[in-house]
Amino acid sequence: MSNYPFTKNELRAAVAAVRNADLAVLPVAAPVAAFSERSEVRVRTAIRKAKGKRAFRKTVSGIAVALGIAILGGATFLTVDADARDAFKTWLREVYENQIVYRFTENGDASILDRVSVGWVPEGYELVFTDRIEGQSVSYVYENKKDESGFVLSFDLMNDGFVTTFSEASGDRLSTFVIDGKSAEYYDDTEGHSDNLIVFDEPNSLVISLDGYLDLQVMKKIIENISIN
Amino acid sequence: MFFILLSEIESFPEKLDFTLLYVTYKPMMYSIAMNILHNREDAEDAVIEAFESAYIHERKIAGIHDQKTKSFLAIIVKNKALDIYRKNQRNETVELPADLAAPPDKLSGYGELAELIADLEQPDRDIIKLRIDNELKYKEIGEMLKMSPDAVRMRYKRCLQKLTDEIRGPKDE
Repeated sequence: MSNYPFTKNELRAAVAAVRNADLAVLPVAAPVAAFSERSEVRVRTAIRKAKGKRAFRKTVSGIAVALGIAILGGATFLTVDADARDAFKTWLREVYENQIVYRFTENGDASILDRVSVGWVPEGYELVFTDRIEGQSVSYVYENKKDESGFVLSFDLMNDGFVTTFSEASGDRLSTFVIDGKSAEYYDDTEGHSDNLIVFDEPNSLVISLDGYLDLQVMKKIIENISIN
Repeated sequence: MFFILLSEIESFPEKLDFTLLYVTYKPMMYSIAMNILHNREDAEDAVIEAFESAYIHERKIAGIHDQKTKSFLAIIVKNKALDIYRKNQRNETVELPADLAAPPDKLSGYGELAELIADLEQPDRDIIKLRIDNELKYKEIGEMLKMSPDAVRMRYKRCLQKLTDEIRGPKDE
C-alpha cells in the first residue's frame, strides 16, 4: 500500500467500520416461515454437498499422511537420482470442485520482482497502475483509453505453500503449450469473460499471468518480450 | 501430489456447520431479498442461490458469528436478488432500494477514510468490502457481481486512487 496515504491496516479498519454501519441499516429480519418444499430440498442438497466435500478432504488428509511416510522413505533415492527429482514440477494444477488450483513448491528470490521488465504491449495500452505485494508479487494494470479495455499482467513468486486459485467458468477451454521454453496454460473463455494465460518460469520460480480480452497471439507476444535483468 | 495433499491439510478451515449458517442467516437474507423482490418465491430463490454461492466460497467464510460472514452473505443475497429482479424486469439498470443503496450515516468517529469509503457508490463499496474484508480474488468478486475480473480489478484500483485523491486534496498548480 506504499502508494497510498493509508496503510493496509488502516484500510481494513475503515472497511470494517463501513461494513458494520452497512449491517446496522439492513432491513429488520422478521421470523421466516418454512420455505417451500422445493427450496428446502435445494438447501438440503447444498448442505449435503458441503458435508460431502469435507468427507472428501478427510480422506485426502489420510492419504497425505500415508504418502508423507512413503516420500520420507524415498528421500535418499531423491537426493541421488536427478531424473526422479526432475520429475517433480515446481507447480501443480488441481481441479477442485469448480476451481482451478495452482500450488507451488519452490522459494523464489523476491529481488526478481524488481528485475522484470515488460518490453512490449499492444499499441494504445498504457500502464495505469502497479500493485506490489512485497516479497510475493507485482501486478501491472494496462488500459486502453480509447475503448477503456484493459489487461492485467502479474508476476508471482512460486513460494512454497503459495496457492493461487481461480474459478473455472464452465465455458473455459484449457490448452497447454510452451512459450520460450516455459510451460504455459491458456484458459479460453467462451462466455464473454476475460481469458487467462499462465506461464511457469520455473528457473526463476516465477509464475506470470495475463488476464484480459486480448488475442492469444498478442498475449504470447507480451510474454515473449518480458525480460529479467 | 505429496505437496498438494500436505498443503490441503494446512489450508482446510475449521469445520463450518452449514446447517447452523443457514438457520442463523436465513431470516436476514430473506428480508434483504424480499426488500428487493417483494415476491416470496423469488426471495427464496435468491436466498438458496446465495447459500449455494457461499458453499462454493466456503474457505472465505471467517466463522458463523463473525460480522464479516454476515456482511458477506448480505452482499451475496443482495446481488442474487438483483439478478433475479433484472431477469424479471429485463432491465439492466436496476436501482437499489433506497435503504440498501444509501451510504451509512453512523460513521462519525471512524475517520475520514471510512467516511470516504461509505460515500463510494455501488458496486464499488461492495467490491472494496469483498476484497479487503472477505479477501476475495477479483475473479471471485466478478462472479458474484456479474463483472469480468478485469473490470473488478480496474474498479478496485480506481476506488483506491479516488480515496487517495480525496485525502490528499487538490494538487497545487
